[in-house]
Amino acid sequence: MSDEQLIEKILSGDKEAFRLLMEKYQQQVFYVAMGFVHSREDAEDITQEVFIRVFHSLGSFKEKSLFSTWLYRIALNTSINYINKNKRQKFFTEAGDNLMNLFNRNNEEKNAHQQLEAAETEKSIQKAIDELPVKQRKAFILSKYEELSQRKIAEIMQTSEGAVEQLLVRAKKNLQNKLAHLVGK
Amino acid sequence: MKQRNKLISHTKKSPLGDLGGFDNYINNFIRKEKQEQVNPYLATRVLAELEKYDETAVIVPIWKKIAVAASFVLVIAAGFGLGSFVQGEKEFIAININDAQLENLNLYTLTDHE
Repeated sequence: MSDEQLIEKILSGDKEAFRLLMEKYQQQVFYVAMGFVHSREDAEDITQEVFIRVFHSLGSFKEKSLFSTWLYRIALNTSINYINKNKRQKFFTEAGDNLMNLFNRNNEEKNAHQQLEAAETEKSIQKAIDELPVKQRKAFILSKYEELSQRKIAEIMQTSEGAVEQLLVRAKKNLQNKLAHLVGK
Repeated sequence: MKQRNKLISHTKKSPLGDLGGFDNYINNFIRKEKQEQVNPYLATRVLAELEKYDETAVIVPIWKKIAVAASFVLVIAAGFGLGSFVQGEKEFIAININDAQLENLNLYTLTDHE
C-alpha cells in the first residue's frame, strides 16, 4: 500500500493504517535520532515523539513533497529540540559514566587498556559529531546514517544541492580537525 | 582498472565519500550505532499513547463555553436587578465610635516619662 493510501486511511480514522506507516518508517527515524543522541533509549523516545507529532499534524500535510521528506524534517527538528531540552541532564549522565569508568578501570585489569582506548575513541567521535554546527550535523547524519543522496538531503533541508555539498565538505573538515589525534594511534 | 575508476568516481560523488584516515573510525562508529534495532513494540507504545491522548483531551464545543460565560453574566445582572427592587423600612443603628475613653493614649505620647 502506498503512503498516500495509508495517509488517506489514517485521516479517515483507521489506526491500523497508522501502525503500518509507523512500521514502514520507524527504523529510519530511529537511525536519525541515534545520530543525534547516540543512545537507544533516547532515540526511542524521539521516535515515539516524532510519530505522535506526525499523527497530530497529518491533516496539515500537503502533498507538495513526499511523505518521507516531511517525516525526515519532523525527525530532525524533534531531535534538535530533544537535545536542547536535555543538555543539563546529559552533563550529569556523562559525569556518572566517567565515574563508572573509573571504577571499572580498577576492577577489570584484563583488557582494560584496550577497552578504555576503544571507549575513548568512540567518545571522541561522538563528541566531534555532536559539536558540529546544526546544519552540518543534519546533513552529515542524513548522509552517513541514512545514506541519502544530496538531492534528497537538499529537499529535506529545503536548500540547494550545492549548499548541501558545502555543508558536507565543512563537516568533513571539522571532523578531521577534531579527530586529528586519532590518526597517530 | 574499471573497478578502480568506479571506486574513484564514487568517492568523488559524495564529499563524505572519503574521510581520509578517519573514514574507518567514523564508519565503524556509525555501523555500531546502526546495529541497534528499534523496539518491535514501539508502534504499539505510540498507539497506546495516542489512545491516552484521545481519552484525556475533552473537546468542549464553543457554544458550551459561550453558554457558561452568559449564565455567569446573567446571574450577576439578576443580583443587581433584584437588589434594586427591594423595598421596606431601613433601620439605622448609631454606633459610638469614639473610644478615646477606652485607653489613655497620653501614656504613649509622653516624652518626659524617663
